[in-house]
Amino acid sequence: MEPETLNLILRIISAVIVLVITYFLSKHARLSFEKSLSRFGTGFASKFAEIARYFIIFMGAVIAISILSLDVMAISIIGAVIFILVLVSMRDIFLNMAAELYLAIRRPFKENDWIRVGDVEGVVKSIGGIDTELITYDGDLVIIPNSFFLRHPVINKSQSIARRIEFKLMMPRMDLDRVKETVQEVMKEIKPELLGDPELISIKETGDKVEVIMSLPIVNLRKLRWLSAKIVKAYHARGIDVEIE
Amino acid sequence: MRVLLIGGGHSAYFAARAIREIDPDGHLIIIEFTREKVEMLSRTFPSAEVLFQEIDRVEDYIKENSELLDAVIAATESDSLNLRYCRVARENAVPITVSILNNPLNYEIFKKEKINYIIDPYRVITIQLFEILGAPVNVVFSSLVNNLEIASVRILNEKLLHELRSALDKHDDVIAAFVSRTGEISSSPSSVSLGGSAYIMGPREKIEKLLQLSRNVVMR
Repeated sequence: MEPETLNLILRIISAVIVLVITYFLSKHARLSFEKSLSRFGTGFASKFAEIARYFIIFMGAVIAISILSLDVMAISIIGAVIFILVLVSMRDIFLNMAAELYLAIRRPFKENDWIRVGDVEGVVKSIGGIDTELITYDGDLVIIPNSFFLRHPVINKSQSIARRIEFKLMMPRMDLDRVKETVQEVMKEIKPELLGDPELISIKETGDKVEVIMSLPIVNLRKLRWLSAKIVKAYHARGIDVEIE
Repeated sequence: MRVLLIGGGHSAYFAARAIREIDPDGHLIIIEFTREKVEMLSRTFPSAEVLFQEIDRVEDYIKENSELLDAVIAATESDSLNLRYCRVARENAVPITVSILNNPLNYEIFKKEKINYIIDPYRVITIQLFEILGAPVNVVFSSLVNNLEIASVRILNEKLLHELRSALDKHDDVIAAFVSRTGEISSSPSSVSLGGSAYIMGPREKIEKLLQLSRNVVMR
């Protein structure tokens, strides 16, 4: 083998070793930064750690290229490729950063607001630099990347403390006066859980059933399921089987 | 509405009375840390559910009941406890978290923790003294739930009256009532004489702008 070829192979091996070391170093640095900076908030820590990781990778790439001792043209091409790769790989971070800026300036919602975005609806638990946490009706914690808010309209339902929710009850056909009477009794029973008076919207006969629609002013929408069960139980205690739709 | 009120002191007493007045049929739960106060509260608010609870168990109670609680009002005699309870309520998505301050200087700490509503009972001292002693400007009311603000401005010179009139003409959402030196109340700026007051009401930022204008005119 010619000395020039051997020299090139050695340089390539050295450059690869530098890149491998850089990769592991950047991974380790990211974890260390995340851990040590977590007291300033997880959002900030992970963002800083990610930037530090890319910086280390970039430096490693520069060292590897200098080891290869390529000419200016080759360095420019490799530099451009690396730059594009970094841009593509950091696309989500840039998007999240833009979204964070959008959320900070436009303030479409704040903590404790009840919002709907995409198919998710819930109370905003926290707004971080990278993501936002929601708690749904069912008490599930949903983590939404902030970039999601750039692509989907946000409906903020927190303009009033209580929201009126319509309940549709289906019960066996019976005398409408009796239906009205039981509805009033049940509404009185659940009133302590509501803010304001429940309203009876309509009672109508549909086939062999009676359909009742009532509107309930509810503050904590997470109690909907519990409230439904309470209504069913209240009817059951009166000997009436109801279904809630 | 299901409200959890924590505390058995003066603040809690007035909070419980207000809740009862707003929502007489609501489910009010009061948590207290001393048995004597629990008994006293049970007698004072017979329709409320008064619970004896250890200080460190309240957070568990909030967590366990967060799906049903509509509001948590922390009104103990310790701001650090109030902050702890409100923080847990907020983290568990209780829709309304209210803290009644014991020390107004702690306001910023609660604000930083993003507690929904922070009530400063001492704020009224400044407002009333400003009113009694005729301060040039006084923010009488600042809503915690919307952007509304009410302020009073003493009309100390013609320039201020002129500025106020033109500002009122400019903004449709700012309204005012004028009180003359002899106590007559009118909605017409033309009937106001120097030495009287204007009570202006509108969006916070516009009221603040008007107040700044008034301060500048008074300073000159």
